[in-house]
Amino acid sequence: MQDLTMIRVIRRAMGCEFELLLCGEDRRHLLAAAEEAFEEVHRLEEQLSVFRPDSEISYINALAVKEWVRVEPRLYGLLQTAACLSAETEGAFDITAGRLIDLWSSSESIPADIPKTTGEIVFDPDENAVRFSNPDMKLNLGAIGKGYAAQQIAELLVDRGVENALISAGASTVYALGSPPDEDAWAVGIRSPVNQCERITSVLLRNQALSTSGSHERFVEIDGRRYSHLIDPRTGRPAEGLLLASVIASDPVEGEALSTAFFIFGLEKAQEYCEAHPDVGAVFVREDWQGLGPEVIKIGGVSQ
Amino acid sequence: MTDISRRDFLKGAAVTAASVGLFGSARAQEVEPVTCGFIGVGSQGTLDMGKALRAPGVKMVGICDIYPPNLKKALKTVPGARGYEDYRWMLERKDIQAIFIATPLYLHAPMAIAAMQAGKHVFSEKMMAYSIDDAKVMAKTARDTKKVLQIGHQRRYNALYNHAYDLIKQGVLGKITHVRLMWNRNGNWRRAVPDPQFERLINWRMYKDQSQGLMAELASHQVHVTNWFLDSAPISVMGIGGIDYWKDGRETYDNVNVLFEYPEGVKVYFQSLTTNQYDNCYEQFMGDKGTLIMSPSGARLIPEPKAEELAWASMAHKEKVGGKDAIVLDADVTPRLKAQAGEGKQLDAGTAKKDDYLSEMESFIQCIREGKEPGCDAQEGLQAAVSCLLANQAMAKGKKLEYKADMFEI
Repeated sequence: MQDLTMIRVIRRAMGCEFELLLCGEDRRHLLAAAEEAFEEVHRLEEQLSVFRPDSEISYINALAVKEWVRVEPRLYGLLQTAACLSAETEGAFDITAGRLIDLWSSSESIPADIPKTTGEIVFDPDENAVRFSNPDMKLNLGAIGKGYAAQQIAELLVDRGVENALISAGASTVYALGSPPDEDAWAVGIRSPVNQCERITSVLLRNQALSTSGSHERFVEIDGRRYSHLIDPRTGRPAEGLLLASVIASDPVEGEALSTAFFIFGLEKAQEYCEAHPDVGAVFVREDWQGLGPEVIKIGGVSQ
Repeated sequence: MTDISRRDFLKGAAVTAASVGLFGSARAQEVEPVTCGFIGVGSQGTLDMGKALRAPGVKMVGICDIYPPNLKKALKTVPGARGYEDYRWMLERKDIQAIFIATPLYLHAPMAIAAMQAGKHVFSEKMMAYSIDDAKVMAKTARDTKKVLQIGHQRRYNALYNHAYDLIKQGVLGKITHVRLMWNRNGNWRRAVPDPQFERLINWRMYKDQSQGLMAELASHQVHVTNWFLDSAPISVMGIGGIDYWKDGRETYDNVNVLFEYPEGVKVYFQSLTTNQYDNCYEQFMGDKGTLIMSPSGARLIPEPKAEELAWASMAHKEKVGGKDAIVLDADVTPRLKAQAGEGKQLDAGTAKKDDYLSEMESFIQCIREGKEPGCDAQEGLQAAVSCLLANQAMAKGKKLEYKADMFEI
């Protein structure tokens, strides 16, 4: 048997740094698998980005307000999953909040009037087609796209015979496939939201994803005040209360959606969700009530 | 929520909308379905099938692949389709009207010919065929059976390329004398093989009995565009290729450097490297009035200093390319600027942008419905294939070879 080797490849895609750590016996095989994985990420970026006028999402956004639009099968499945997760989280996670995201990211003052621009995606399973219930709604997969990319990469790597890998989609989502050599699981750190050099905790992952949502890295500044880039689709306003929400789940798509939802609807509801879904765990950071610095709270299944 | 309860939820979501009569029609607009089968669902095939399924009316009822993991995966995404290990079984189905082929190059011709003879319309991925003879028989079969045969050179359906073609015909570049075609990467061009027994199946591009290498897989797109933009085909070709870096058992060149001669002294240079990606991927058309540098992701026009200024140029968005002012071309914006400058007619507001793969799939289905000839038909496919195949022969022989007029004839 050949010695195990590990390769690390980093590329910029989907507005962040994608990093792949692949373990196996044949370096050439691992490099080829990494190359294919990045091809897949670029394909997904072309399909999902709202910043690309010819992406499939832009196409759907342009047409589904007035007619049925047929959707590529895997994306159709993703939209269905997103609709379910939206229902499960009572709208705290909602990919139809695209206009709200645009509104806050381009606003120089607090928007006085926040119109109702979210809605429902209506599905026609016979035709794999979708249509929007609200003519003002717009899809934005920013809170689910990297998790989907991690899921698709993991699937591709397994198909290519790579059984152990760590897939990092920027700071949003990490998916741990199998484990590193001689270990039972991948140890993945969660950075402090107030000090990026500090690690608040680390978790052990095996065939699990860790997704993180926080207000520390991305924000909008209006009149000198920083607002979270995470907009609560239910109120149309930036979410407040937490510094960070990380979710551990077996499915990176679900994990990424839930980290957004948990950040938005807070500890109590997250607790309820984790009780009903024992395979989901979460780590939260909030300002300590006495103002003594950040407080770390763990709920559900978190292995350390 | 489990997968099953999620599915129940979704069923509810669709029915709810239907019951409130949200859109008048609870279902996607019905168009006459075109029943289709797909052969070869590897990387390119999966992409193609995803695009084909976005075209209204496409009903994929059969999927064929000899590699079980790919077949299984594809069938999962298209639940109504039946899986086949042998494409001939799928061709026996009377209900299938059209076949998509995204298999290794050497299989395009036998599969396409069998499909057309079985009464099916065919979309075949590029390059058209493994040999000149194969391509000709494919083209003849399309003519004899009166079936639509479309070849997958998707740039033909790209709005930006069509816009650039119009500008060239309007004389924006003046007389084109030279063309540079670049497709450079830094990587071994291999796919990861889960088990050595699948090496030749998965890395078919490396092996001469299945593949025509970089000329077929990359050059054929750019040579097709060149033939289209110049309205001609090459008259001679010479080149040097080699397996000089990736000495890993491959049989097809890891770098090719080809010089084509076109009528009226036009020279066209194609380069494809696998060891340096600096020059990346683009087509550069050089005329006595300007240079056009383009790829599917964008097009820049750099007028020659002595050229008369274009009426709309001052309104156009510009960028620096190699230190020079370049006009950024956009298939929506530039025609509007031209209209404002009094050239051409005012256009309607832009609609949803389609990528070229979707456009080519929609066009194929439309040709079947309306009995029309495709844009990239057998003739265009044959011309691109012959252009590239002779280049491989020239490199193998180390000689300049001339194209004979009958090579391009069906």
